Amino acid sequence: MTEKKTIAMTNDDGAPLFTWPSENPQLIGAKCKTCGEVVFPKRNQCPICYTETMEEVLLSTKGKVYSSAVTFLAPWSGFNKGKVPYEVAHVELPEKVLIATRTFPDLKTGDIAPLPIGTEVEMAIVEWGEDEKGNTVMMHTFRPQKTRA
Amino acid sequence: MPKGAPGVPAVTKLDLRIPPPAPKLPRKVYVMGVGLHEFGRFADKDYGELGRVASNRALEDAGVPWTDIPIMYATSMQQGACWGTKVAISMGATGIPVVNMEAACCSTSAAIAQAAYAIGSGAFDLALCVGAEKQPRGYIPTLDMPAWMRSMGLGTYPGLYAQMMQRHMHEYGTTIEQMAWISVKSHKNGAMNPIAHYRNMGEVTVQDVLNSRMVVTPFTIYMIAPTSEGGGAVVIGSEEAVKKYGVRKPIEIAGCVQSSMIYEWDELLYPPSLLRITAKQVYEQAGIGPEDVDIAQIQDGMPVGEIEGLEEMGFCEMGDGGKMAEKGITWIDGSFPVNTDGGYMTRGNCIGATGAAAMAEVVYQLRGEAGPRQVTNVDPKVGLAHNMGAGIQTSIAILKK
Repeated sequence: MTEKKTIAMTNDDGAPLFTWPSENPQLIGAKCKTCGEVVFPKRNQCPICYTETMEEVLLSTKGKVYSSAVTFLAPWSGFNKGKVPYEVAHVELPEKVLIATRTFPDLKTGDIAPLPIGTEVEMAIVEWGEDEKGNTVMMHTFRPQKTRA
Repeated sequence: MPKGAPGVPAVTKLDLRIPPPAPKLPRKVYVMGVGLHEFGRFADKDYGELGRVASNRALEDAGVPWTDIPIMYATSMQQGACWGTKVAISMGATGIPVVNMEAACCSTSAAIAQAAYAIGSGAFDLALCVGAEKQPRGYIPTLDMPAWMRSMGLGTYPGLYAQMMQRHMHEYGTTIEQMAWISVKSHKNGAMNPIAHYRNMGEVTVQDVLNSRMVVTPFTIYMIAPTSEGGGAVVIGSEEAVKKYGVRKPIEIAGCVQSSMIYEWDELLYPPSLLRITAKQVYEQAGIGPEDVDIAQIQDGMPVGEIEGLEEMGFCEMGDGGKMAEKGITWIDGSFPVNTDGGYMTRGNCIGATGAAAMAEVVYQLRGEAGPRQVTNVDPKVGLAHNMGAGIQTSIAILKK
C-alpha cells in the first residue's frame, strides 16, 4: 500500500502552490529578474517584459483584501464538499500581486463574516479534503490578522 | 449616444504594450440576414437541430438558399468536437468548409469577425455564421481556469464578477438598487422578446429583484443571466452579394474586433484596458466615436458587465455606469437604449449563440423591425454589439444602416 501523505494544493503543472510541510508556509510565486514583476502562481515567461527570466520567490504571508464576496450556491465542477455559504476573495500582497483565495474568519467553526475591502489579513493553511489517492490536500486561505493583546 | 459622451478612458498602464492595429476591411461587408432559435431549455433538440432552425431563419431573412453558402463558421463552447458539421448534416451536407470556433461568450461574434475579414478581403462573397448550445443548468464550467481555483470554489464566473462589482461599489459608490434597476429594465425588455429565455416571466420591481434569492453578494438570482439552450445565425456578404440577392435592408458591418486578455497585475475578470483598447480599435475601424452610437448591446451576464461596459466603451464617465439604468437613459424609451432584447440577463446566455443574438437585436433595431421593443426616443443609425467572455476575451462590432 502506498503511504498516504499530506500535500499542498498544486497548480495544473503539478507544482505546489505553497511550501509544505512547513512551520511557516509561504505561497510560491515568481519574480522577473529583468523588470521585477511578481506573479502567482509561478510561470516561466514574464507577462510584462516577455523575457524568460523568471525565478521562484516565496511571497509575503500578510496582505489586505482587494475584493471579496460571499457565495451561496455551491459550484458543481470539482468543488470539494465544502459548506455554503462560503467566502471568496482576492488578497493583495505587498509585492503587488493578487492571490485568489478563500477567507475564513474563524478556522475552527468555519463561520463566515464578510471581510471588507482593505481588511488586513494573514495566510493560514487549512485542510481542503482528500484527493483520489487518499492524500490529504491542504489549501491556502487568508484570515484577519491577529491584533496584539 | 446622447451629447456629452465622454469617450473611451485613457489607457495609462499599458501604453508600451498596445496590441497591433485592428484588421482592415478592404471592401464593405454587410449583415444580410439574421435568425434566432428561441432561448430556453429544449430537451427534444440537439445541437444540430438548434443550429439548423437558426440557420434556416437567417437564410430566409437574407433571401439566400443554403446551397449558395460557400463557407460556414460554427460556434459553441460545450459541444466537444465537429459541432458545425452536425448543423451542416442536419441541413443536408453540401461539402462546404466548416470552421468550428470557440471563444466562450464571444464565440459567434468572433466567428462573424473572422467571416467579415474573409469577405472583406475578397476570398468569399457570402458566409453563414451559426452558433448554438446545449448545456447543463447551474454554473458555466470554468474550463479556462486552473483546477485548484475550481476545486477551492474560486472558479465561478458569478464569484469573480461579484468581486469586480464589489471593487466598483468600493471605488465609485455604486449601489445594489442601481444594479436592481438594470435587472428591472432587462425583465421589461425580455418580456417583449419572443425568443427570450424569460419571455414568460413578466416584469419585476426593484423590490422583487432585491428580495430574490442571494447567489453571490451583491448579486441576487434576478441579476444573473440564465444558462440557455438555443441557436443564432447571421448571414453576411459583400456588396455584390447584397445586390445579387436583393437584400431589402442591408446593415453594414462598419467595424468588428475580437481581442484577448492583456496582462494587468490587478486583473480579476474584466480587465478594463482590454475593453478600452478594443473599443478604441473598433471606433477607429468604423471611423466614429462613442458619441455617434445610438443603441448598444452590452454583455450583462451580471450588472457589472453593463455598468463597466458603458464606462469603458466611453458612453458615460467612470463610475456613472450604475446611474444609467436608474435614470432611464438606457431604457427602450431613453436617450441611449441598451440591451433592448433583455440582454444576457433575461434573453439568456446561450454561450455559443449569444453573439448572434446581440447582433440580431441591433439589426432589428436599425431596420425598425423590433416590434414592441423598437426604440422610441432615437432614430437609430449606428448600433454597437459587445460581448465579453471567458479567457478573457471580448469582441465589439459596429453596425450601420
